[in-house]
Amino acid sequence: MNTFIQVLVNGILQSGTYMITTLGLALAVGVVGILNLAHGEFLMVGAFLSIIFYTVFGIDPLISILIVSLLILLLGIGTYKISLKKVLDSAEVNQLLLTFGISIILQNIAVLYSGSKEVMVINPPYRDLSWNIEGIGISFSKTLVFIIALILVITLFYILNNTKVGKSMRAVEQNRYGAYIVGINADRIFKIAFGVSVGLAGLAGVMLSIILYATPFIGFNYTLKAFAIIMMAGMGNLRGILWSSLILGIIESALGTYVPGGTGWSEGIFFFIILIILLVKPEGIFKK
Amino acid sequence: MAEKIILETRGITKYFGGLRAVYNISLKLNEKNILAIIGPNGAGKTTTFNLISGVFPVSSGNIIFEGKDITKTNPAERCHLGIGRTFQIMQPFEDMSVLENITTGALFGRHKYSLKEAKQKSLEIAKRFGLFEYKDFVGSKLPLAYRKKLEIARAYATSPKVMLLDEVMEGLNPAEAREMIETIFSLRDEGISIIMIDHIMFTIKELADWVIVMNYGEKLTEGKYDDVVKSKEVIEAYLGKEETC
Amino acid sequence: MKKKILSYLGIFIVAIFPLIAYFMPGTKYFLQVSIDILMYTILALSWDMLVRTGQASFAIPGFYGLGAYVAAIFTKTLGFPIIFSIIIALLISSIVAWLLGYLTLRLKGMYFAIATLAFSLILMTLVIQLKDITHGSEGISTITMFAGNKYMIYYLIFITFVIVIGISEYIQRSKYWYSFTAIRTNEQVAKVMGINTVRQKVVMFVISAMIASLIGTYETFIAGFIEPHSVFNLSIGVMALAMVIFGGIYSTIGPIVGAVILKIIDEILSTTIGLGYMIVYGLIIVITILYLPKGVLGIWQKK
Repeated sequence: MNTFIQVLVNGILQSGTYMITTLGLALAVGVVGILNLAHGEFLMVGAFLSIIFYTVFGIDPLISILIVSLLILLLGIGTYKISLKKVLDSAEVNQLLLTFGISIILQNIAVLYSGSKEVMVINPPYRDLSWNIEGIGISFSKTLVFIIALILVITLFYILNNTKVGKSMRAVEQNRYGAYIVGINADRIFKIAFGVSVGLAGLAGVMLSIILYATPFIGFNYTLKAFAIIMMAGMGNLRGILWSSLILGIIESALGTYVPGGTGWSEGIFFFIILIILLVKPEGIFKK
Repeated sequence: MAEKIILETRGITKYFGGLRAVYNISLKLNEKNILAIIGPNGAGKTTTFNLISGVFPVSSGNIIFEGKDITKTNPAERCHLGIGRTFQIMQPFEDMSVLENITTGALFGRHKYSLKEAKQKSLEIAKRFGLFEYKDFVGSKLPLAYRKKLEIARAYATSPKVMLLDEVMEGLNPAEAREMIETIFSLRDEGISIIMIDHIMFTIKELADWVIVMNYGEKLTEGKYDDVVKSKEVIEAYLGKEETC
Repeated sequence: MKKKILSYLGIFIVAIFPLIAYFMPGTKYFLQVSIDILMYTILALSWDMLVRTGQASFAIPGFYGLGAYVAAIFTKTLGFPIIFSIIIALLISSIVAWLLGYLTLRLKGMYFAIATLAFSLILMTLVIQLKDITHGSEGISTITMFAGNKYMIYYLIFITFVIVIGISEYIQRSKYWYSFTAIRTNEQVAKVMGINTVRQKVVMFVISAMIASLIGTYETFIAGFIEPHSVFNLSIGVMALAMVIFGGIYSTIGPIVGAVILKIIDEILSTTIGLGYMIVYGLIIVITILYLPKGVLGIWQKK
């Protein structure tokens, strides 16, 4: 029983980073209409920057999180301006390949930076703290990250539902052409949406640097995981993303605990879910 | 004169999810006749075309072509049997010249010409529809009237017995419309039976042997042009509501 | 006509290249590099032929790895002769490709790309996890290698290269150029024009998969050692498609030119820069898509 509760706790805490990463990717896919294959690389850059801020300037990730996500947001806007903007009307293949190219560039910048170091880790003082409640270990840093994620999710939903920019984004997402007619400046909305999209990825990266580690190659799996979650939720279903993240987080943690060599399977499971949903129910499981 | 029915639909119906797009449409197309389908926007005319050409499968009902039930066949098979169609939103293949667009129809249509024959045919067809001087243009760069012609030429290249023409008059100036009317008559005279969707009343008056009026996915009425336009329902449902040029 | 002469000349040079290399210092190195170039040219062509039907696939690493592993397992574990293992690998790949092709038929654009990517990664996970059969991430070593010297291997791959060029050029000059272009630009209209889009897409998917798989089997018998992270490596797919994009998509000559130039750059950079040299691939993909949508060939050639 205790093991089961432990699995649940770990899964739930893990799902926070998935929620943030995926909400970000969902914005890019939904609003800008481009599947950004470099999404996870922006997350990776976020993690790297957080680690650099900590090791070089001694700034704690909990403080640098704001600077880093802002930097990545600007990086995103820059990326949109010099590249994505030019392929909005191109064939989808070209859009995919372009973001794929960007992902390779970011990945290898990180490789060039980290050189032979295989794994980058930081150890803020609170990293290994944990509570022990009735035999169940609850990591302080993971809880912290999860709470930050929840606050962000709530803020994001509030912004999307109640502010002008948020409403315009949703309008564009629901009806590209209609939004154009009612005079929403699509270019500006795309720019902001893409910036926020990768900004969120960067933010998730900082959170990740607190609880895990970073290598130049962690990004791509996050892109795919986020895409799996979006597929599960169904395109345009932001609320479904929360549920799907939770479920996948728990499945992952259960696999790691109950199945021998299960962590090796866990990524395969994500890809399997993607494939099955694409083939059987492309509109998603949680889509009404 | 006893006329032979070439194409018939029996109560075809189409649902999209819970939405009823076309309901219980029965129509008969006589050989070498021109049948017009009219009705307000969203009446289900183009969906009916999509059902007949096989772009969508029907939810229920049957489609009979030359006495055979073709309800279960796919669009390519229907093309091979002799049903050709044009699209309202003109869709020339990008990356292909006008001539290559037409050649594609000839290669894979009812006669499945060899590449050499198809190239030969497409030249003849380009000339026949007045596209010869534009033969090397990319389809999407053509002026509107020529894109309409290309739609027809490409469908014609598949050697159809029945052609479905989806708003080929739309947006043409009077001179171009006149030319298009002559083109449609010439197709009919060649032995092709035609179903056309249109909004423009004077062309229908001139062309159509029989008119079907649709509204809200259903058949409102049908008959000869002069009778149909006098019917009260039609005036209310269609002519009363919408500008007709 | 000039084009024809040029292409025969090109193939002739590739054919006699080993003789030239024979008189150069470091023959072995040159031969190895040219074998690599030829293998990548073939992969790039297989991707290009498929994308002509509008299917931008990420399944190359999947089928490459599948071919490599089936070949290795049948030769090493079950003791089959090489030629037999290759045939079995092709057979299995074609069945898998046929199934996957049918299943992913409805998917377009990013959905198709992601589904095929997921396929590649699922295969890799399976290979790593099914340790009893595959030895997991350690890989399989001391596999019987191709008998004969590098020259013979070169000519084996050269023959494959010529056959694949033949297939590609046949598609370009036959009615399939018309149907593939039609399917790629507007599948719905293509169907109404009488094109059996399902069959054409699936058949091309299978052919493309078999080519990738064949190259995978070659890799097994050239190296004598394989491991999952190298044969299911996504960068194999990335390089192949970068070569196509860079050289010029939807053509035979484009992928060849792309593969030759990029593989040479690759060879130089991986020895000079070392780690992280793949950044050049990223830059090439991005710059080509933004500024040279028809690739380098598009610069001096129209259509």
